[in-house]
Amino acid sequence: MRLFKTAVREIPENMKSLLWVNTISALSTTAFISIVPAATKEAAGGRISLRMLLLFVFVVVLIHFTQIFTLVTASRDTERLIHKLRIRIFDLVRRSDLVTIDRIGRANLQSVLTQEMQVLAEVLPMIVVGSQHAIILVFLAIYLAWLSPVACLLAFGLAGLTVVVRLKRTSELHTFLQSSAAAEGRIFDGLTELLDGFKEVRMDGPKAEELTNALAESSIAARQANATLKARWGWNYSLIESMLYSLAGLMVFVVPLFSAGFYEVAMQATFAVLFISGPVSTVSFVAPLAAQAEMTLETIETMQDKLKAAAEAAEAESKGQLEGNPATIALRDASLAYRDSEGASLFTVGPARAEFHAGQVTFITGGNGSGKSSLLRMLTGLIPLDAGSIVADGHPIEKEQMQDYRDRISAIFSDFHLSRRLYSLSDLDVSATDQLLRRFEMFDKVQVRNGAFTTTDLSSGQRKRLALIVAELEDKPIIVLDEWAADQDPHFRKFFYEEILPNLKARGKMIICVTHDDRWFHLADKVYRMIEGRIEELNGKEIA
Amino acid sequence: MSLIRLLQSVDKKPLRRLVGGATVSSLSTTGMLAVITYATQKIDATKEEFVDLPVALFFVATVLLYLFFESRMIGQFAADIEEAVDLLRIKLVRRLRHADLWKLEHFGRSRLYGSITQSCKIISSNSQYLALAMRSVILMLAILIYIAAISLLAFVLLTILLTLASLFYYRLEIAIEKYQAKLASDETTLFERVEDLLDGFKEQRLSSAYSSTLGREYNDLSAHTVDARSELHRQSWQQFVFGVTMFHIMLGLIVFVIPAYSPEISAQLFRLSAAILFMMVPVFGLMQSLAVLRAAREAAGRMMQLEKELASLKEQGSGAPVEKVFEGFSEIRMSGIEYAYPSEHGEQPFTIGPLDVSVRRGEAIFITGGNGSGKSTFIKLLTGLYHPDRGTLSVDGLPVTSDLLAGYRSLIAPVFSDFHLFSQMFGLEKIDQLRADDLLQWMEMKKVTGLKGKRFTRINLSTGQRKRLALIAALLENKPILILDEWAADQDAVFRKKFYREILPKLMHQGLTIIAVTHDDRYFDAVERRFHLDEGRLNEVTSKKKGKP
Repeated sequence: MRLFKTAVREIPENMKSLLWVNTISALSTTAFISIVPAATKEAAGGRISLRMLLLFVFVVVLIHFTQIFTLVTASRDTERLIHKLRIRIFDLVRRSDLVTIDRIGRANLQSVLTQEMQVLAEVLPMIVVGSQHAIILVFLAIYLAWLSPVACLLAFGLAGLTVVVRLKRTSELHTFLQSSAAAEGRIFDGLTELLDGFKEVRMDGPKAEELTNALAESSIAARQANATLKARWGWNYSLIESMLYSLAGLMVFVVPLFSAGFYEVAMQATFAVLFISGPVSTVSFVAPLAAQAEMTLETIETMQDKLKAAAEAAEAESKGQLEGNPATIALRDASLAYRDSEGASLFTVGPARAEFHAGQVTFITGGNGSGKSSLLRMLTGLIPLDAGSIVADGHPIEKEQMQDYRDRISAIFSDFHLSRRLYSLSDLDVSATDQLLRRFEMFDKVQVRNGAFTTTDLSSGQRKRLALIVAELEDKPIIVLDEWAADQDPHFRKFFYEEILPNLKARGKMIICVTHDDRWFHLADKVYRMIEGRIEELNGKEIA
Repeated sequence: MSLIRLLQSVDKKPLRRLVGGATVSSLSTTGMLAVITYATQKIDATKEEFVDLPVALFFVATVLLYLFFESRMIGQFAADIEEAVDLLRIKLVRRLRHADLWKLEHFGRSRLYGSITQSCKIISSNSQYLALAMRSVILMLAILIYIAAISLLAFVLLTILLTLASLFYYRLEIAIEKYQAKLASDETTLFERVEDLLDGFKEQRLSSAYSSTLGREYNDLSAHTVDARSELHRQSWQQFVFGVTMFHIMLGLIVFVIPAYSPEISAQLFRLSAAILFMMVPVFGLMQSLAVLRAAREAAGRMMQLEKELASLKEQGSGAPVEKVFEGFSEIRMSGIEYAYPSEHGEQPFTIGPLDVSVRRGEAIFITGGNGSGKSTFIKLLTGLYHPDRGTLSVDGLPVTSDLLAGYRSLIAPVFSDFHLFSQMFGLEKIDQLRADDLLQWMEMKKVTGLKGKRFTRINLSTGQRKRLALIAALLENKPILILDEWAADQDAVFRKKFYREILPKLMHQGLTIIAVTHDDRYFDAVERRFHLDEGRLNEVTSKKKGKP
């Protein structure tokens, strides 16, 4: 029902014409079914009438074009429906905030935006053809009832039973499908383990032996699960086909018992019943798919509701603007607590006080898990603070100004993402990008063409260089780098600290780097250290 | 054809069984057709109103026969295919296990996954359609023979029409598949945008330009996909309706054309038209299986190809019996070992060495060096995972040749920096539960996980915690040499101190030989000797100036 409602709401344009054309198509199919036996009888009588032939040709042509029209139009409409759902979710995600996205989880969002949409794309065309055949069946039922009510009752009784059996069997098959998928999943896991732990496997003979034996066992289990599934499938399939074949048997062996004078219409009725097994088979095949589409739509709509509130709240953040590029950014008693599901505090960052200036380089150092990455998320306005504020030139940044503030920051986090397309930049100057690529020693590997890098399939150190090139091109006043140099070779690391950073500084950028490279601490104007969520400034002696 | 080769890798029977089953199933279907048309014509001609019981029983018999043989054919064929797939899959995994690390790293993981899991899936999930395709061919032939028995003219006309229509249908199919392939790449771009949004969520929050451009591009791409997919639908619906119309035309041929040329069979027209209706199922079924058939054939080809390629990845000496010559070793020595990573066109290759170092039994050494100085490569050379271009690795003066490699490696328990924590401790026959318990306690892991049989009850933990478990697993292997690569990097300050001040000394005291790569200069004094790697060269650092007591 959800499917129907969604269709009426989202793609009402062609509903009416589809219904009409479909009706014509079904009527002409019924006409076809009555013409063939009639002509057969005529031929048996030795006459072939031209009128009958012309009627036949007309009906066949009509069926051909009306079917194409309904199928093509309805498929296009379902594609438009998917398009609407897809961009709606995409835009909602785009406008949401990081906390919401982290809470919902990347995997869930990804599955809605890709798998679920694909399910719809695969299932909806089948439903289109299924509904078309269902309408044909309605008219054929009327025709058969006109020939012989008993024949209609029996034939459609069995046809209905076939659909029910198929539905039930398909859902039963589901458990077999699941156990077969689970068995194949275990092979996948085993293979992943073999490949991920290949060094360890190589080191230890018994380990390798046992792991491969376990994999072989999974393989055999999958073989058995698949074979059972297929035997079951084969039985279901043959059963359904037998029922469809029995439809015709019903006409010739059972109906005559109950219906006087059936011999007059026996041929027409048998022909009609032989014909309907096609549409009945289609409808019985599509019925479970419709249930699947319902579920998918429900998942999509639930996700939409979850995102909506967040997206609307986040919208408020882009109402205001800062007065200009800030010369100073400060955290004023900013704090953030990570809590478990019961709300108990797991780890707290802050209250933090720190100051960053334009034209200065500030380093932040600290052990693993000391809260450096969290501090960066707070500072860049990606996570709302529990307490305290971010202050630009002495004025706390209001919620409405947050997006404008963020737009002034280029950041490369340790879990950064390098997109192949340079979305944040328009009108790229090829000579400028080439020059930067040369300076970052990447020109022989990558170029920027048509607003995209020619490849991003590179080592993490190289991808970080590209990310920094993007930041250079964005030319924003604030640059935040999280362990940028960790994956660079010694030569380029030196280049980074001794050439790139001073160059940025000379251009008046506010540079904030999380780093462990104490060799270069003397190059910073200020060094903060984080210990268990607290931040403190290092004095000159500690830096040297 | 590779699918048949795959199937016959077990023995020759499966194909014979398939043909046999399909033949019986087809004959029973044709029997049904004959019975129904016979009975209908009889009712029509004699105006009888009772049922001919023997004929009815015959019909029931054909249905049951069909039910039995069709379902058995599908089940049997699937079981045969599964057996062949299973054998090949196990063979592939066994080959894989003996592969050389370096070669495997450069082989491409996605191809391995693709061939081993995807290809198997393509074949086994479609096995029923492969069986049905064979059955469809035989059923079509059977029905055509039935038609020929009634009217040779009808047979000739229908065969010609059917052949032409099939050829045309197939040509449409090829066009559709080409279009589909093109569409697949469009969809990949669409998915790429989704990744750019989800993986780059922070980036897009920090740049309104990023966000709006991404949104616009996604919208455009999605709209473009609507057009492209609608075009695909149009083509395939046209193909489908063409097929339906062809059957309509065939029926027209029977009732309007045949009687004009052979009036003597005018009374048999109903049997012919019923035969055509019976033919729709196998013909459409066969047409739809063609794509599946091709995909399965390609998958089988890929798997057999991979089998050959994996053979070439084999590490020399792997699989040979383990020689236990090194068990009582007293010194491991690398002398003059050099290694160069193959480099791309004209670039300076990264080289390491010559490395000269020796470790005595029971000794502990540290290896230090900056990022990219070659520490991990050193470890791979020391463990024999990479094979040096020059120089030798030797134990007590005996070079570790390829046939001794397994024996040499069996001395070593490593925890690599990119270690893998296995879901269970493979390769350990029996685990000393008491010792494991002590170790869990010692590593302060008791609270978060436990040990049940050979499995840790929970391994979904932070990197630091997982490394502790990996160390426990390594220690449980009871090997004389422990190799650690930046083990303490992910530990918190307190545990790091415990590691260097308590754990390492105790392990040394237990007589373990320890080779550890480390960055923690605060604890360099924990061992006697330290070597420093700088741009691929290894030097012993003698002074202890930085050490704090």
